Amino acid sequence: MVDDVPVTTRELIAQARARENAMSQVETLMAQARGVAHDAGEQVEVTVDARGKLLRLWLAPDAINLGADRLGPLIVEITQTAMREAVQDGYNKVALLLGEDMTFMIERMTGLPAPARAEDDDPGMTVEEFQRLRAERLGEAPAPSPVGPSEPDDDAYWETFDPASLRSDR
Amino acid sequence: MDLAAARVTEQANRAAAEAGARFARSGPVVGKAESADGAISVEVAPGGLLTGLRLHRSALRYGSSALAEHIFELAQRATRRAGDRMYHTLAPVLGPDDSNLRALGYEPLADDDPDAERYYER
Repeated sequence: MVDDVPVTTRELIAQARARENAMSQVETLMAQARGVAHDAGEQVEVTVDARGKLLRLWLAPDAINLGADRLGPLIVEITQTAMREAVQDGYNKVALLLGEDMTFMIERMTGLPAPARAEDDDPGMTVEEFQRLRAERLGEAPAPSPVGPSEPDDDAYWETFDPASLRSDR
Repeated sequence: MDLAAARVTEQANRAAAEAGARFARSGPVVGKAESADGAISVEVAPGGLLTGLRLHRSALRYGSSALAEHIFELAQRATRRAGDRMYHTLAPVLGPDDSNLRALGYEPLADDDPDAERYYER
């Protein structure tokens, strides 16, 4: 613990400069952050920056079939989702540069917590869930259960695999 | 680290209190823009987040692609207007040349700017 305390003024100055340099990049990183979101029907896609500014709005040709009363609020809702993505993207970039502690401090100072810290944050979906939804979307037959015939086949392949069959690079 | 955070927080709190008093008088700052035919109207928060989008049935006649383009342009205009309002609310607190105002995109619109507010009042 004592070893962590800088002993010379030069070290202190170097640390302060490094921190100042890192902090000056926060603004740039947050400005570069982007968030994209679309509706479940993929009729509306929106790209925004971390402050919510609209950077791109795409409407599928059939989006107008939703009707004027539904389309307006839907675009607003998707834009707000995209902004949460952008804020998280910004904090992810900042955390890579400054580390988790500094990022948390910046979140406290700005009063804008990273969405991923929210208790009700969606933890995302599992690979199985994604594959099932994708299959449904594409109108395929339900995916085979995990204990399908493909697994033993894979095992059999690796059990009989001979590394000598690989092409030599010499 | 804690000291630095506390100092920045205190400075921010002081400016926020002063700005808060101004916002209390002016009401929440929003930027608005409407298409010439009145079929599309947008409302944004400072910074540009879309907070309202009202479409009249006739707006759907533009077709998806042109409609998206119109909404995008109106959102840009509304964002500039919100930035102009924020500038005029915060510049007296932070000073007209404050770098934060520029960094946040809060810039005054010239009177002859086609996006200036007077063009909006219909």
